Amino acid sequence: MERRNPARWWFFAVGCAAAACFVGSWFLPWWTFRLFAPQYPAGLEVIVHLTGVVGDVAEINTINHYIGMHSLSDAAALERAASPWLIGLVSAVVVGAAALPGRKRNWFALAAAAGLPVGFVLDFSYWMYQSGHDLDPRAPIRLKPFMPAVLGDGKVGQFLTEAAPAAGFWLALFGVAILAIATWRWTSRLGVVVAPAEVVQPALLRRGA
Amino acid sequence: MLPSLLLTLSACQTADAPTPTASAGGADEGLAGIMTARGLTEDDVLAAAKTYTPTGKLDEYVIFASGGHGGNIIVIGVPSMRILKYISVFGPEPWQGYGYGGLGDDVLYNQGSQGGKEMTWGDVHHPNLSETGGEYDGNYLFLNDKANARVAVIDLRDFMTKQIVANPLVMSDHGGAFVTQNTDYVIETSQYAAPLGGAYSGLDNYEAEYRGAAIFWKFDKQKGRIDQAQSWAIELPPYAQDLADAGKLASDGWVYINSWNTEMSAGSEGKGKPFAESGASQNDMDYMHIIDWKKAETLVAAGKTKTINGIRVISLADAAAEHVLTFVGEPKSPHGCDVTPDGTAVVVGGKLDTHATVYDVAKMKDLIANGQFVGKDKFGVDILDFQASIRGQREVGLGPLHTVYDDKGYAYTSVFLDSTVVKWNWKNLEEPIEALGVQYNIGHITAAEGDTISPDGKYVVAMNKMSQDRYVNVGPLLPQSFQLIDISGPTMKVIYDLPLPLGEPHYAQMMKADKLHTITAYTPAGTNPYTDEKSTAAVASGEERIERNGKQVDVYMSVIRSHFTPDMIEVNQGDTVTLHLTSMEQALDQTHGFAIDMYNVNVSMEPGKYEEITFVADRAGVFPFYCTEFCSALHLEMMGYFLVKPQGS
Repeated sequence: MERRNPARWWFFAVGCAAAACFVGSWFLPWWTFRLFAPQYPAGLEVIVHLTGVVGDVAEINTINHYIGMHSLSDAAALERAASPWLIGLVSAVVVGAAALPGRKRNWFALAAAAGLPVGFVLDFSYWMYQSGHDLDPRAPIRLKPFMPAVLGDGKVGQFLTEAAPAAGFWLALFGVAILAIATWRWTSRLGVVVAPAEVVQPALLRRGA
Repeated sequence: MLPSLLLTLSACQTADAPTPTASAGGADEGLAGIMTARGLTEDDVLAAAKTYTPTGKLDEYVIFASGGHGGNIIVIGVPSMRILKYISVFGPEPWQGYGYGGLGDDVLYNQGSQGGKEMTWGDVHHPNLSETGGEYDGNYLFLNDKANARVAVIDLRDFMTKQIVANPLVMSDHGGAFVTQNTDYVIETSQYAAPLGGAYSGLDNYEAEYRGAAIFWKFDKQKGRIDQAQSWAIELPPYAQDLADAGKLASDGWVYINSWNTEMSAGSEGKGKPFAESGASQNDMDYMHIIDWKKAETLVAAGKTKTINGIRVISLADAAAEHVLTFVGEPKSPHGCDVTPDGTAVVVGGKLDTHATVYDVAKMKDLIANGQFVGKDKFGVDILDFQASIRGQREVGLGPLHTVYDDKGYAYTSVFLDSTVVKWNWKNLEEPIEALGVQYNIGHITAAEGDTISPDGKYVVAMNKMSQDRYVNVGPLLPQSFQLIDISGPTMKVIYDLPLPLGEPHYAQMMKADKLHTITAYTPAGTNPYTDEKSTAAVASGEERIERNGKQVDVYMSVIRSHFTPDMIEVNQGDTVTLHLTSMEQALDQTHGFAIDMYNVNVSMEPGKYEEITFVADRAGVFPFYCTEFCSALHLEMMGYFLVKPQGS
C-alpha cells in the first residue's frame, strides 16, 4: 500500500488544527453572564474563562452576599486548576491519534475532544446550580433556592440575566466539528489508507462480505 | 422641527378662538394650552427648548464658579444650568467629609492656617482652570481666598481640594488665581496694602511701609501641587492691586494687574480724612501694572531677591529699575483686566468710567523696549504714555467691569450700574454696540472657553450680584442670580435664570465638559487621595484588625455594602484612636460615609478611598457609628458601636 495517501495528511493537518483550537480556547472566554438592573444601566458582566472569572466580579460578589451566595471566585477550584492539563492532554490525544491513526483511536480522540465543550457546559451548570442552592442561611435576604439560567435570559431579584457562550467555547466547538468531519471522512476511506493490515483487512473483509 | 412647530402654534393662537380637538392635533394643543395657562411667549418656549435637558442627557459645558465667602466652588452644567456639585475649599463641609476628622483636615487646618491661626472660612474670588498651550486642560482648578490671602489647588480628577498655600507676605489678595498659558505659575496679587510679612506699622507709615505684592506660585505639574520653595514674589507699591490676567501667545511672559488706589488713601485714619471710597477715587487715572515675569525669573535666578517670611521677593526698586514693573495709566478705579484670545490686546473696564479701553500689547512692549516713558511714580516706576499704549476706547455704559470673548471677534463686557451685558467689536471699535439688560447689577461674566486662546462663542453667563424680584422671596438675604445668555444668534437672549444660594459668586470659568477626566473610583481600593498611592495601612478583606499599643489604638477597618469590619470598637477613656478606613468598593457611585455619633467625626468614603481619622476618646459612653450616605437597601443596618469604657472602671 502506498504511504503517500493525501487523506492521511489531511487528517493529520485537521487533527493539529483541532488541537490548536483547544489550546487557543484556553486563552479565550468560554461563557459570558450579564446582569441588568435599574441601578446598573450599563449592566454588569462576568466573563468565564477556564481558569476563572473576570469582569465585574467584585461588584457581583458584593451584591450576591446579600442573598448569601458564595464568592464567584470560590467556584470550580479543581476544574480551574486542572484546565491547562486537561486541554493539554486532550490536544495531545488528538494530535497523537492524527499522527498514528487507527479507527478506535480516532473515535476515542474525537470523544475526548467533544468532552471539552460538553463537560464544560455540564460542569458550569453544576456550579450555577450550586451557587443558587448552597446559600448562606444567615443572609439578609433569603431566597428560595433557584437555578440561574445557564443559557439565554433569566431573572433573579431585580436582575435580568443573560447568559451566552463566548469565543473560547465556540472555538473549541469548531475544533470538535472539524475533527468530527475529518474522522467521519477518514473512516469512510479506510480502504485506501495505510494502516496496520491486521486491523484494516478484517474490516474490509467484513464490509465486502 | 420644534421652531416650525412653535410658529405653527403661534399662528394658531392668533387665529380666532382655535377649537381644541382631541384628535391627531392633541399634542400641539397641549403645548399651546400650557403656553396659555402659564403665560409663556414663543421666546420663552424657545429658551426652554434650548436649555431643558431631558433625563439621561448630559451638559455640553461645565462652569466652575467661586462661592465668595461661602469659601467653595459651585459646579454648574450648561445649558441646563443644573448645579452638579459644590466643592468645599476653605471651609469644613460635612457632606464631603471635609474638616471632620479625616485626611482633609491637614489641608484645611494645617496647610490652611495663617500666622498660626486656624482659618475655617475663605472669601473665594477667581477660580482659574489649568491650561496647556493656552487651552483649558481639565486637570486642576486654582482658587484664591481674598480674606486670608491663600491659594488652593483643586484636583479635577476627583473634585477635591488637595492643597492650600498660605501667602506669607500679604494680608489680603484679590488678583488671583490666574495662570500662565502652560500653568507654570499660579499668580496671586495683593489687594489691601499692609507691611509685607505681617509686621506692624501705623497708618502714618502707609506710603513708607505698606506694600502690595504679586506672588508667582510655581506649579509642579507632575505632582499637581504648588512648589512653595520654587515660588517668588515682586514687591509692589501700596496701590490696591485688583484683577489681573496673564498674557498668552503674543503676550506670553507678561502679566497685567489693575490698581485702584494710586491716591494711597488709607481711609479716614481716624483723623477725619475721607473714607477710602472717595479717598481712593480722586485721581482720574490709576495704573495698570505691566509685569515682565520672564525678566523677573532671571532676577530670581541671579539671586537679586530678599527673603521675607521665607519667600524670595524682588524689591520694588529692583523691579522698577529693571522694568520688571512698568505702569500705564488706566481709567479710574478699574476692575477687569482681560487679555484677548490672541494675546495682542488687554481690555480694561473702569468702574467709574464709561469706556472699555483696549491696550495694545505690541505698542506697550515697544515703548518699554525703547525706554519711552512719560514720567515716574513716587516709587520710581516708569510710566508709559496712555494714548501711545492703547488702540482705542469704546463707550459701553456706566460701570464696565469684566470682559470676555467669543469666537467671532466680539467682546462681552459686564456693565454694573447699567445692569447690562454689552457686546462690542474689540477689533473694530466703530461697530455699533448691542446692550442686553440683565437682572440685576451684573458683576463678572463668563463665556464658553472664554479665557482660552479659542473661545467657543455659544454662551455667556451674567453673574448678577442682585436677584431682587426674580425668585420667591427667601430673604432678606437673597441669592445671587446667574443668567445664561445665548450669543449664537444675531441678538443676545437670556434663556435661563439660576439662583445661586450656596455662596456669593465672583468669577467663573466655563469649560467644555468633555475635557474632564474625572475618575469613578480610587483604584486600587485603599488609595489615599492626597498621595495617589495605596496606603500601607489599607486593608484587604480578612486583614481587618484592632491593634493596641499602650494608649494608642489603631483600627484597620474595611467598608463595603452594607457593613463595617470590625463593627465593634472598644477603647478606654483617654485612648488615642486612629481609624484606618478602606472602602472595598469599586463600582460607580457606591459611596459610603462614616460618622461616629457625638464625636464630631464624619468622613466620606468614595469607592476605593482610604481615610484616616485620629482623635482622643475623651468622652466615655456608648457611641453608635454608621454609614451617612444612603448606600444600599440595608444602609440603616450599616452600623456598629464605639464603646469607650470610663476611666478607672
